[in-house]
Amino acid sequence: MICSTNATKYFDSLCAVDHVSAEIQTGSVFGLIGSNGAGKSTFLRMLSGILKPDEGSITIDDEEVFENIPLKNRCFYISDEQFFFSGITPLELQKHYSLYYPLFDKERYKKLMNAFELDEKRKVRTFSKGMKKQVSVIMGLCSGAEYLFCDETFDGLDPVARQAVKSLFAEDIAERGITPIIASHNLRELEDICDHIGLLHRGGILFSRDLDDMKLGIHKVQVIWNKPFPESSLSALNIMHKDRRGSLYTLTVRGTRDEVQNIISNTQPTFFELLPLSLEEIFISETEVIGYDIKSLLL
Amino acid sequence: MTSNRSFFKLQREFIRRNLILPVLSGVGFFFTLPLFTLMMIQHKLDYISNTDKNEVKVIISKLASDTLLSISHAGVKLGIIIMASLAAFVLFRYLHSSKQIDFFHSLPISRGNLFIQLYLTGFISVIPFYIIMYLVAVICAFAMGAGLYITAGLIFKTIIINIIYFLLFYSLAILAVILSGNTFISACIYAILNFAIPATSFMLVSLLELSLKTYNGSQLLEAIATKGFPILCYFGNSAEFKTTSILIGTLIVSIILFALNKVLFTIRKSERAGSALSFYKTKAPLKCYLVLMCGYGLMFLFMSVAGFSWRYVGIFFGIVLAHAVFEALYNFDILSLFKNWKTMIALLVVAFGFLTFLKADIIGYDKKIPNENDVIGVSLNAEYPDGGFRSYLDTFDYLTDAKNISTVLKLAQYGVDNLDNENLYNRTYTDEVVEYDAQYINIQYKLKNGTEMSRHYNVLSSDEYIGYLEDIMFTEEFMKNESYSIFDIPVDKLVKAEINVRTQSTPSNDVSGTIIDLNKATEIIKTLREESLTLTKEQAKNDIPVLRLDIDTSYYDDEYEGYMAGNFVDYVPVYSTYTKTLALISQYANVQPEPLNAEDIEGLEIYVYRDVKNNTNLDEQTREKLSKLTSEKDGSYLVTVTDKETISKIIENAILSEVTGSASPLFKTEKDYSIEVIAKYDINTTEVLFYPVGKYPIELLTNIILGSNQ
Repeated sequence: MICSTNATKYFDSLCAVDHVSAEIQTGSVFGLIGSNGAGKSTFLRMLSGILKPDEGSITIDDEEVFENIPLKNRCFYISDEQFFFSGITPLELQKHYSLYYPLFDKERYKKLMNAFELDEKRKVRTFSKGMKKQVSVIMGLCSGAEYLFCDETFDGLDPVARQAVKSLFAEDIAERGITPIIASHNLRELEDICDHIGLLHRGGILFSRDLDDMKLGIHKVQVIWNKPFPESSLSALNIMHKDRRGSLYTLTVRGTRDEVQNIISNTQPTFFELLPLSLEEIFISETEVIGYDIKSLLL
Repeated sequence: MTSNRSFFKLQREFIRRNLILPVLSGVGFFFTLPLFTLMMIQHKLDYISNTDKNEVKVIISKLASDTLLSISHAGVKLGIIIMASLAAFVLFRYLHSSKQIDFFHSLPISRGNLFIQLYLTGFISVIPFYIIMYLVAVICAFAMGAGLYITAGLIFKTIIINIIYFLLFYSLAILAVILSGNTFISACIYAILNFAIPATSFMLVSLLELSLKTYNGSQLLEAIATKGFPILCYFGNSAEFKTTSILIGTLIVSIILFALNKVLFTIRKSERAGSALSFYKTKAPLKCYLVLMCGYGLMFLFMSVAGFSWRYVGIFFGIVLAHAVFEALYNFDILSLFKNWKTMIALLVVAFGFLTFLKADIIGYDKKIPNENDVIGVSLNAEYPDGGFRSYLDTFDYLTDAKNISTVLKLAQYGVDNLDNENLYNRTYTDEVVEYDAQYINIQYKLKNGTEMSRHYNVLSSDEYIGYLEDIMFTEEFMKNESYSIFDIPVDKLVKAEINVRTQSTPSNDVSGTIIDLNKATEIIKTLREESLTLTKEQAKNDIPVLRLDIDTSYYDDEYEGYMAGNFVDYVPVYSTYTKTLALISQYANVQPEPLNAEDIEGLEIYVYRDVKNNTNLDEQTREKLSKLTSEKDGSYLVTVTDKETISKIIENAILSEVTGSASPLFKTEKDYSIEVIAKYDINTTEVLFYPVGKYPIELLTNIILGSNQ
């Protein structure tokens, strides 16, 4: 289990990650979402032992990650801006990683290279951005690492490759119990694959929850009343967002499905529908609550 | 990743990933060693093609062992420095890129292990190629027949010295790369690390010289400056820089730097890629140091260009500009020029304050003279007023005689008494002392507690001053320790000696005899030493040396472990009382004293110059007549005398300048600068004539000049 306890990171006077506490269960797919500059990459770099927290701690299976080589042998970091040695080929890269990761699966590497139709003798610098990402993912998956730290890994991958990577992750989770931690802006992608979500905003963590619980705890309601908005009757409801188009109100509310349904039914609406909320909508609602309302600038 | 096998596999991988280093090393050292060796030997062979075969072998062997394959090979040294710097920057520069840092620091390898891997990669990528190319060059030298003096010791010594200095420059460059998150700033830090110690010492010495009147350098600061200057230590031709102690010191510094680098590399924060300095605590001290250096540097620049009074303007602009530049660099923002302006003001106060503090001489540095009981030796540099060529008095060793110590202390007191004479010390930066009669004295004391103390004084020339000098000059101890004298020749270590002998009649482009036999020359030097000690003050004042010797020697210096050639001791006087020396010279060179002779002179040219109108030695009537001659002849008037009888009369008391040069500074000559006599030996040889004081034949000369016009 990965455990972050009050992990804090300063870049000069800027607090990039502010006392973040979260737990990531082994075998789960953890999605790290957040606004721009929220500290996702910094947090991921702390998790993978690149950065040392200025305050607090980051542990994996109760051991500090930073400079813990046996532990880092079980981790693989796929950077958003990948670095490849000048003139290196995937084959050479595989040999390079094999030196660090004794459990590197060379057969699987060959298999995946073929599956992704990547030439292992071609220089990586001649690859497209998506192909480079594919190479990195293959290296990560074949390294034998239990923890994969993926920073915007799906960015640049075509839909087919994205789907393939998701399948590979699922396969490895099922077979080896790996724990991918994926930081991304692409919430739709995460929605498909993650079972746990951490939302970072301005360096601090807003929440870290199971995706299903989250979806169950937050709802979008479309409702029409033939009378003014029943504010007092809805006071028991935790309304995160309210939008009105004519007589149609769209509310984002927190609470269980039954709770929300009961409270709104009691107001005797003309029309009422409970809709599932996408991860993107949850993200927008949650960040809006704490004042991150870029959307209002655009509308 | 802890097993040896993995370690070496990883090492091989690092070398493979940085192949540019071994390739450059191989190519570079191939050009500077085997190829250069072959080319230079071939060039030498072509140059000496007509020489005897054995001699040729000796010459090319010396070329190989003394230059091409020795530590003196500047090309190899340059290659070592370039490769050391390049290796450090190529291997550790990843610290300046956050992308690369993420890659390396996410790998399961400890920072300490990574550092060692990278460090060894640099070493292995350069040094084996250097050694291989060096050995190939040795084989080439042997193949060309230039291996006479190539020994295992030479090979070992050369390789070891180059490796030690490689480690030093490599470690310094790594430190520079680690200390910054930016490659350009790292390069600047590398330059600072190389030059900081000598530059600071030099700056401190310059400030002390500027502020204190008697400051005469510091052996400690000088030693720090030279020994703390890696490039000078490496390239210095002096054997001083190749002694074992310096090499051991360099190795120890390299090891310390290695350990420091490893610690810094381990604790360096990954997020510092791209920042000006990786360790923020070094920001302020580094900036303060550099700003102060720049401030004082600009002060000296302003003083040298505009004069002494501009020093404060120089400091002000130096500090303000440097502070602004460093703030902009630290923040990578031109708008940050005046950030931390309070620090800038504090630095201005410190810079002005330090200068004022030095100038105030609160500790009484200038007036300090050691207690006579504490002094065990003194060495002196002083100038005898109007003393001609041999007026500079200098000792090569300490004078320990109590009487000499006492006299030197009196001389120092005289110097202290002159400190308040502002004219003596009133100077601009470019001009020396303004006062005309000023004399310069440097005194060095060796104290009982083992320390040394040194002072410099500007004093007025006076009878008291001359008296002190003469009290010292004619002591046996001073004579035996006088620099550039017959006693300043290491007689017992000589491997070659050549003595040129001149008489009073020998013109400057000629010698009367030469002794090149080492034993004969040594015998003459030893005899002359004995007889030189008999010279009295009266004799020095009145006698003209009958012969002048110019001695050129070569000897083996144990301290520097090398041959010192071309050591000239010129203008050595031989007086008529030095009978044994004269006898030896007569025997070995067949030269006897010979006065200036009319028969040797083709003619005399007597020049009258325009200045004659101010000549107070002439009566008014003569002055007017001579002045009229010069105005008629465009500023100067020439009379040529060829009559031997007249020549004899004119040269009766005359001395050639070549002879006066060897006389004691107490011996005074007279020369009228408005009427000059030049002896013409042949079409190419002319000599100006000098006369002892009071013997200038002004009357005879004016009669001849005026007679020639009638």
